[in-house]
Amino acid sequence: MSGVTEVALVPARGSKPAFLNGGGELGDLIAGYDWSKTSLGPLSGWPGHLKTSVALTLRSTVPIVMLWGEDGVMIYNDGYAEFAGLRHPRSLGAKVREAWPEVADFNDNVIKTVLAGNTLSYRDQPLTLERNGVAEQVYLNLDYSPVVDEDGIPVATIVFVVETTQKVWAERQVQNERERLKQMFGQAPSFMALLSGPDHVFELANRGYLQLIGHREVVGKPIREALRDLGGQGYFELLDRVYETGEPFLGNALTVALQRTPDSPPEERFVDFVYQPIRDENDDITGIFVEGIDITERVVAEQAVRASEGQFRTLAEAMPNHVWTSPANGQLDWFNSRVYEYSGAAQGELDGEGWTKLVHPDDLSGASEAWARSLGSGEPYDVEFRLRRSDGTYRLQIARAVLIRGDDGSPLRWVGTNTDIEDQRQSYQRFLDSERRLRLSQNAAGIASMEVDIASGEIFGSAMFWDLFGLPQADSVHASVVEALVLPEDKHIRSSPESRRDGTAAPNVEYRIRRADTGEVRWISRHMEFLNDTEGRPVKMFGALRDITEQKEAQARQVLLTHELEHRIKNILATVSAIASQTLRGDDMEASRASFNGRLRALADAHDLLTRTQWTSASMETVISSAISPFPADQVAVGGPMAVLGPKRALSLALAINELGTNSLKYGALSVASGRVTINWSKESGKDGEPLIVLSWVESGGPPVSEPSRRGFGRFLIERVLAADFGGTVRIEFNAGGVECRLRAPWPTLKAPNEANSL
Amino acid sequence: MPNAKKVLVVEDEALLLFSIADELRESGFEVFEASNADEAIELLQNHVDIALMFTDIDIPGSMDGLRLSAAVRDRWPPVKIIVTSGKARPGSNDLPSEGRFMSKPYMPSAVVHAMKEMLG
Repeated sequence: MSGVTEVALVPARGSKPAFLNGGGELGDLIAGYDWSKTSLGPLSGWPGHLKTSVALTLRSTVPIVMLWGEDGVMIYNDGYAEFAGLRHPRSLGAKVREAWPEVADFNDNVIKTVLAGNTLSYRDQPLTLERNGVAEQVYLNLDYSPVVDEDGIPVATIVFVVETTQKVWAERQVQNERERLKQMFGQAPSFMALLSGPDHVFELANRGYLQLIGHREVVGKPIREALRDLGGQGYFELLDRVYETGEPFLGNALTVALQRTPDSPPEERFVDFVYQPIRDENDDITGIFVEGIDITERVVAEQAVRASEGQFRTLAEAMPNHVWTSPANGQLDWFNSRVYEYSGAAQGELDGEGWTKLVHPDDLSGASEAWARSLGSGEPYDVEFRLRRSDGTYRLQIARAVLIRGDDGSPLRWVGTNTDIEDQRQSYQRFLDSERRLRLSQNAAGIASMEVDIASGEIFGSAMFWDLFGLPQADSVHASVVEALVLPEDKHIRSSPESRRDGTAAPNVEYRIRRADTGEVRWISRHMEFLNDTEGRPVKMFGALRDITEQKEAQARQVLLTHELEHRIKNILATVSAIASQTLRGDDMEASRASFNGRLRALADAHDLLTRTQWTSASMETVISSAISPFPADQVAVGGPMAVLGPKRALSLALAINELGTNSLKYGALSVASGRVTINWSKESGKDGEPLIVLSWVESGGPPVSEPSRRGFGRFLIERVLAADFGGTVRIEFNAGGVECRLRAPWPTLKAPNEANSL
Repeated sequence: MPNAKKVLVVEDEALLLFSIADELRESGFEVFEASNADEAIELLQNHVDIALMFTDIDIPGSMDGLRLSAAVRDRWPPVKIIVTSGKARPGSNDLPSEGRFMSKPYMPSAVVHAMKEMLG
């Protein structure tokens, strides 16, 4: 702004030339300006063409500035003054290059060009001006043309200035808006296309549309040409109709076959779309806006759901169980045929909460609470309840349901089943009953049962099991505890961890244990079976055990008895045989037979006595009384203290008494009615004070007797056998008054040394 | 009875012992009687010329007839041995070598016959 002359702001009054009249504020300012300092010279000396130009400029409403001469001395009107901002009024009369230094080059070019007789014109010319002290971007329409003098020589540049900054900004905004729309159009998830004219020429197609048609070049082409594969599907005809009638068309889930890539076979897609006619300002239809979405994936998913639903129904109908479904609200909405067959209910009768009518009243609250709990938590439903069958009986069911969730985790449906476990329950009850019966019978039979878990070695035992081993009652104990009770000498008989693992343990064994509580040795019989896994390896051992100690003892007694009986019978036979061979050797067969019978009878009677005491003992008195009973009893007196004889002595004594009686009946006291026999025994002391028995047979009142010439078998039995069996001495005296026989022997005890094996 | 063969009878039943002993004496043997193994051993020790022992298996005392026979076979190998029992015949392993077995009851004549055979 240097060089700009200060001007008086107050115009000179009364001296204004006529051509400046009506020239507005600037007219006054020009009138008052000292032009003499400029190349134009004083106002009074201005030539006609200058005055005329100024008058024209001042009277225009369009902002106009004139740049006079090579200097470009500025003369302008009110309109320009407003445009110039704070540059006015200093720029009046100033040289333009100085007044607008920021665009000096621009103006320099302009002045040279126009003074050469040319014109210049700029539209929306961007310029940075400092009109109000700050740089601002302005847009101007600038028209430059020369002002010529009377001779037609260009002497000044006239500039028409129209500021278009507002307009340019508005246009820019519209442009941006359009760009944004275009982008939105392009990026929209739905497919869009704009078809124009009756031939439906593509004007626009967004990305979604291009994707649908496999990115083919369609813009600028009629649709029938661009998308030949669409022919024959009715879409062209639809477009024609929309174009003709102006009625929009809305398509829902329509199938369209389109090539998704060039040369590929058409692919079926599902689309929702609208054909919207576009009208111009005259309401005439100019085109059709196509907008829609490809719903193929959704349709396929829905079809899959329908298919899977169908599969579920088919499966559910094929199942033997009751199957039912419920939406997330818990109101049951479907039951398979099994449920209707079972309950006899009509279709729909069980829907919602109708099913509860079938539940046994006692089980209903439990089932309802469990169902409510599952609905609240989404946890599986699992209850047992009794369900009424069409015949009115209730059968136990196990009801289970699980919640099906959507991909996003939201609850979709409950699928439930009821399984009839009445038969199982009854079998289980029967099992329990039979198990109980088994346990009772085992208890009654003294049978203990056990179960050995082979891997862990734990033994689970019945109550009887612990009693058997004298262990405290427990659920289980390690096998080693029980094994330790088996006697070391029977260790090889019982099972061991190895033989249980290998399955080589003997199934039936008998072994001895020492009871844990009393230390008593008992015999145990154990029967066992293995339970194998699928590969045949033993996993459990089930055993039944019994205390067979009494049985073992009885067996031992039995063996002993059998042994003894055999021995005794053979000995009796041997005795009888010996008696027979001794008795039957004489010539008098009749007498021999009588003797033999008498001896056998004495033997048999003594046997009877012994049998009464289980062949253990007999009293002296009963042995003698029995042996003498075949003889005249009133002539015989028997007496003595209590003495007990073992079998051998009893038999020996019976045979001896029989011999004495027989001899007496033939030759002695018993051969006459007046004769008497006195049999006495007493206890005496021997030389060393040992107890002795002294038994005497004394005959009296009979005929005189003499010693027989021959020693027969009778004397053999009396003198030798009786003496030997009693371990003493026997003497027979044939006195004149009668026979006397005396046995002197140690007082008999049941177990004489020689008799040990005869019992 | 010079040159009579000496035999030993071991039997705990007095009746049987005396009966067979008498039978054997009547058949010309000189007979020693024992009612248990200890008595039998003592007799054998005192009468080295006993040629044959006839013993019951079931006898009381420290040894039964089989063990007595084994002991005799060991100590007096020349002594012939006949064992008898009312029970089953023992296994040949239990009988002394060259021993004979007679089951009870036996006929005295069979015993005499066997002894004469064994003693030649």
